[in-house]
Amino acid sequence: MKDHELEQELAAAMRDRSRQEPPYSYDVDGLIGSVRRRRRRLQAGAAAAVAIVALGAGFLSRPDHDRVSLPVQAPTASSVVLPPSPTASTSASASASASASASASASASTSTAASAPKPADPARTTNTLFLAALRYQNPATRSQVDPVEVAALFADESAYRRIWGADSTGVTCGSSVDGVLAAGEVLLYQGVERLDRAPAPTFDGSTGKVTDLTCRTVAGGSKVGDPTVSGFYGGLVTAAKSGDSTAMSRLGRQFVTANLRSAQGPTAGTCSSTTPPFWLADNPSSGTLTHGWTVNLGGPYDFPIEIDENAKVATACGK
Amino acid sequence: MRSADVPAFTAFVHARSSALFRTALLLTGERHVADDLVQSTLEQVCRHWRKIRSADAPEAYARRILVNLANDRWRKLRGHKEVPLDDGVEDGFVDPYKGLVVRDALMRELQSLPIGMRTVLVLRYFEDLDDAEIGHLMNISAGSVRSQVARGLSKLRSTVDAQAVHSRSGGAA
Repeated sequence: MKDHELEQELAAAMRDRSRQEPPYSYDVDGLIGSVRRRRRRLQAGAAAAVAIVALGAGFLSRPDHDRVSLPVQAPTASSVVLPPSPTASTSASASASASASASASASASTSTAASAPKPADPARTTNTLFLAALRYQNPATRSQVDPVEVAALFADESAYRRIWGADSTGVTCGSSVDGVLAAGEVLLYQGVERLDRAPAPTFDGSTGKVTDLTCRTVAGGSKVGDPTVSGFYGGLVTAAKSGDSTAMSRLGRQFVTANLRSAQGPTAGTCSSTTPPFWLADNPSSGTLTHGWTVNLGGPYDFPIEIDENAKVATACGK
Repeated sequence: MRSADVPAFTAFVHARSSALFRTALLLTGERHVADDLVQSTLEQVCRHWRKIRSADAPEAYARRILVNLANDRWRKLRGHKEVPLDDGVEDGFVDPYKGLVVRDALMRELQSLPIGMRTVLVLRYFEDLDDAEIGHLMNISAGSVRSQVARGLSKLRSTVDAQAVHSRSGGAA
């Protein structure tokens, strides 16, 4: 049998086989229902984690000696008209006086809010807020940040101006950062080094929007954070900034399992990203011997990773 | 998923689930496993529908999820390799439907190939994707796709050749 005959025979065999089994009819309502149930469980877990951290830090009810006040930002934030939140007192006429583009955004957000009155998920807000800050603090990605969308994360305009400030560093405790690890508490990184100050946002209970943000001192020690995540992704970001093309393979050998490197090649563990501008890891998960995160390296999509008992990235991007 | 997204997602499921199922069937060889894979794929598509909806080709995204899930399953089961039994074709038997026997043998041999090799063959000869598309979908280079296809075809050829020897010896007996 010649090559092309074998190929034709194989294609025909595949067609035959695929026709032997009639496909199922999939229940769309069931699919949507199962996804919604799972999402509700995750949201409940995330909200509980945030509440525990918030209560543990004590900033909801009392001052704390090791927490420092947020650096006051000059009131020079971009002029943004906040879209009214469901509980905000902002009047419709106030929005009407805004510029055309801002009004359009506000109107869109208003209609969205009207059709979805559920409070925003604090974990989701945290993710969006810190991703925006990371993007804003990197000149290459700054243009991707929409101030209207950022402002909509806050309970009101004064909170937005006070916390986000002129350059977003109010969100990151006065420092520019290129790495964020969010697991209830939020840890900040510059390269592979963790900052000793960590932001703790407070959320409005009814809207889920940010009302305040304080910065507290984080104790030293390697047990805080995730050395694999900060070592690998922080190292990659540092290498990208310095133009060190050899770092990826070196970091891969140090932090990624041989199996994953074999399966995914030189960009193993990064979902093909070679020069990430920053990293954010959140949505932690844990198994018996492994744990996982959802990682964003500056691209449009997050991807899951799993870290094995040897502290190496064992799966990424669903592989 | 927002209520407004439900009609589009429903249309996607109705339009594409059969094709996904057929690909899953070829990747796994078993109906119930293929069904599980498609179910999981559609759940992930549903979960990320807002992102997928804005993508150029939601079908390609879904196919990628399916392939990844098939790979995951194969890795979990590695070491428990199962090859479908020969369906009662005896040595020396002269089959008047030789073509069907060869196709059956090809499908059985396909399931015994490593998952990566199997996947590139299914994507090329069933889905009709080119090397670049397969490489993009599987996160490997087009060169790797070509080499895996060549090695996979070589293994399948040995099966077909053995089948031909069986038929010839059966005919002479």
